[in-house]
Amino acid sequence: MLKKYTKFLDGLESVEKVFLVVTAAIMVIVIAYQVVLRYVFNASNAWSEELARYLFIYDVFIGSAIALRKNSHLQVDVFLNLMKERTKYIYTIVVTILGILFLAVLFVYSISLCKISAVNITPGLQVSMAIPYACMPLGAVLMILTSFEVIGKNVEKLKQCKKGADV
Amino acid sequence: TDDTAEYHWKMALNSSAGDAAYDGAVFFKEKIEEITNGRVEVTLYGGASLGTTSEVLECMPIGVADIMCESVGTLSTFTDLANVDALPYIYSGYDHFMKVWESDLGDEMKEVIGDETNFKLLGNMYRGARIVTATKEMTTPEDMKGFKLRALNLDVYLKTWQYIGAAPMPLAMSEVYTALQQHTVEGQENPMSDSYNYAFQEVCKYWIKTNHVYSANVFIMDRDYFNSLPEDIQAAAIEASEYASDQMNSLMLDREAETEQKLIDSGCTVLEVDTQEFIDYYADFVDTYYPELSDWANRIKAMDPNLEGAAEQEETVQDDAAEGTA
Amino acid sequence: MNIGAVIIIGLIILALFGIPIYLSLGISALIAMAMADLPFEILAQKMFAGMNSSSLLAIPFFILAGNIMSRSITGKLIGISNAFIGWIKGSLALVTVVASALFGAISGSGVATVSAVGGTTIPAMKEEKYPAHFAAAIASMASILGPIIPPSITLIVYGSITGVSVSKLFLGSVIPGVLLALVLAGYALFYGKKYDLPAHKRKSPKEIACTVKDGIWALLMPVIILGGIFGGIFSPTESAAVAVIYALLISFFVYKDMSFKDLGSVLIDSSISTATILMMVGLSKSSSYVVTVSGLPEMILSGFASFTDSPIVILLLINVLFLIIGMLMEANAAIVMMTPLLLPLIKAFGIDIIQFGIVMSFNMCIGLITPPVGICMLMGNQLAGSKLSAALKAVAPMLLMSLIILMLITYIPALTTWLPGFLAE
Ligand code: NA
Ligand code: NA
Repeated sequence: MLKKYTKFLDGLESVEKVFLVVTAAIMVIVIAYQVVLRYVFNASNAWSEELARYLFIYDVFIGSAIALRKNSHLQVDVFLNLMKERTKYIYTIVVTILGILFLAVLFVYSISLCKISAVNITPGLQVSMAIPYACMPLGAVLMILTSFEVIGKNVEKLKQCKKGADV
Repeated sequence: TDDTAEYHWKMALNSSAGDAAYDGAVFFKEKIEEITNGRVEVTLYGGASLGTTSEVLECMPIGVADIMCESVGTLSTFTDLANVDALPYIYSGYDHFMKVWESDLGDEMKEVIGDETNFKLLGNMYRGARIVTATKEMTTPEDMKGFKLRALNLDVYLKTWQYIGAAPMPLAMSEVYTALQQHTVEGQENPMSDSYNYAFQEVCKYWIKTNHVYSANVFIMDRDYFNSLPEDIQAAAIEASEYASDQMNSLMLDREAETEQKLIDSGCTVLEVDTQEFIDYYADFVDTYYPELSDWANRIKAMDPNLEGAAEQEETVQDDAAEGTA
Repeated sequence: MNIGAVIIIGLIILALFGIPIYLSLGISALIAMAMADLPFEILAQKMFAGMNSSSLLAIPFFILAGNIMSRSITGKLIGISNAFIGWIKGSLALVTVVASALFGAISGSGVATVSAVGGTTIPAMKEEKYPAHFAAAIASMASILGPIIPPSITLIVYGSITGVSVSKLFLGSVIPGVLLALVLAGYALFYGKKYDLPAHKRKSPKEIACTVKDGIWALLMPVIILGGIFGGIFSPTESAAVAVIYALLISFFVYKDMSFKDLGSVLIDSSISTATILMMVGLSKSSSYVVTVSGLPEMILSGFASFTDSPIVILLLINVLFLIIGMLMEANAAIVMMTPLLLPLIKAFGIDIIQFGIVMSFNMCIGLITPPVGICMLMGNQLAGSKLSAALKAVAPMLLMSLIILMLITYIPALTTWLPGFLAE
């Protein structure tokens, strides 16, 4: 069950990674294009910087989901390092559940924000603000999906720990 | 916090004390607290501490702020009609501007833009004509060709400068001073007193009174919230906004004159331009890029007090408009 | 209870208990917003707003440029340093400092610097029988030049929160960066002489010319980035993008040591590092909105004002506070949390906002070394395989020197404000 789920997340992660690579390339090109436009053609446009900025924020939320999988979000781990293995697993599960709750709230209210802001048109790309804002519900879902795996893995480790203790 | 207050309004402002919008907000606060005997309490949040204009406005319906003082043009992300506030060379000067915004046309524009965006627009404050500050001397449209300047990242502003052959560059306000120092840009445009507050006199020797845009500051509230208020509070808000407008409108002219003197004292060159030359240059701008605003632009232009027989022209245009809607 | 205070106390408790910083920020903001009846949509909107800044866009670019560099160009930078100063006793330690400073003029992060430069020079130092703890100490300490010498990610974060010009912040941190580099270089010289560490053969002018020729493309990189920013040719974000393109071009076509596959993984690593910083930056905007409407800054202000009216005392207190925070927390996380709170205080006491940013950033970079959470120290130590206690003892004198520089830039504003003002003319 957990293995299957991990496989599913692996697949999802490869899609996310392709997205990251493609958008990062676009960001670099668009900003460089802006420089060329300014110095070679003595011109500017309203959309290029904005496009790069919104793609960047999408990347933040997608990158954040991968970071969650890799356990690379920044934390003060002094206290954590003092814990016994078992306590640590239990603690991680509790923290991850807390994280899911927060992300669920973010999901619900960022969708609501998309609805509220739908009439607001961005000055550069001339699209509804709901489109850039949609990275938040998307990111929240991806992070929640990853959180389930984190919990699953820690439950498994906890079980092994118990077995080890029994033997 | 004041215990007697029933309404605690958060007033969002981009600027800080000394700026036209902020000072107008101070007048509003004092007046409404006075007429409602403290039932309304207004707290000012300057320096965009509640968010940028666009962020504040889009979440005003859910209460990120209760009222904001900003130019009508900032509503352009909600309706193209608000661009009327940023069109170049549709006014001949301060008197023309005041005449329009104190007329039925001014009320009509606020009402229609309010309908489109579901905001309540109150008052009308002159915030100073937009001028150009530059590192080189320019006085004619011809001089402006190839001029590299920082412009607001809004369609109208970019088009305005492209139209005259300049090279507008969108830059964050925080980077403009450095960009001017390092000659990344050769100038910027803003109302005179705002430019002075940003200390551009240190990096721009030439202050060119292009007066290309006359824009109106208004108090913006969520319309549903405004309508839900008891009538006496609504009336108080209107009265306070009118009071603030009167105060600011008489203050701003003096302030512009004072700023100009300070500029001359600090060794800057203040240049006048032949406004008519620019007005003629931009005669077809609105029809070309903003045909939906042509009607308003024409009615505004027709109200120019300097125009010979302005009164008759005004009437005929209004008659045309009336026929059009009939 | 004041909701601003709820946020701060909640944040401290949650963060200390090891809950990821972004989550600590988010949860404490949610609790405070619920108490004040503020709609949660604002949390989402401010989170986005906190990330929605073009200067922040420079962060992934600088991380990316650094990651690409670390593959090929680091070796060239080390080679060039070695060609000029390799004949001095303890040369490898000196080379580590110089190469870290050069790398710092390209990269904005300390972790990137220690892994790129230390990753190469630490094994080399061990081969030449340098004490492992000293190798770890000098490489870790020199790596904080990465975020101190511009470009700097911590300063970009500070600039995005305060709205101060990133270019000015970069200019202001040139002198502190050079000071620290000189002091560390001096210490490396002293240490090399005292412990009679090995030197390399002096290179002939021809050999030097050859190394420089080979490495010239790498050496041009800082010139392009810093020259571009300080010369007003690029915005910091644009210069970061240009740096990425330049690094790619020379990696692919000049040094030919990178494949598209490598590029993919480098890109993804950079995105992940950026994401972890930006999640905190975004949510700090949410919590600072709540703090703003709570009226807490005014209360803190009047509290401090009744306690002292001296900027000297305030700055000292703030520095001590930062050193403590820097022990426990990653630099960007700390800046994100502390800046909105302290800004009103700084302004009220008439302290220069650029100087303050640089002092704060310098202090937090020292935190990359101080235990228990000193990420650069831990990485350097791991690379050297030394005992942490020994490495910490070896780093102590250098840490002391950096604290003296910290005091200098705290109490002599000209060190940080002169250059931004001077280049203005
Ligand atoms: Na750096
Ligand atoms: Na530390």
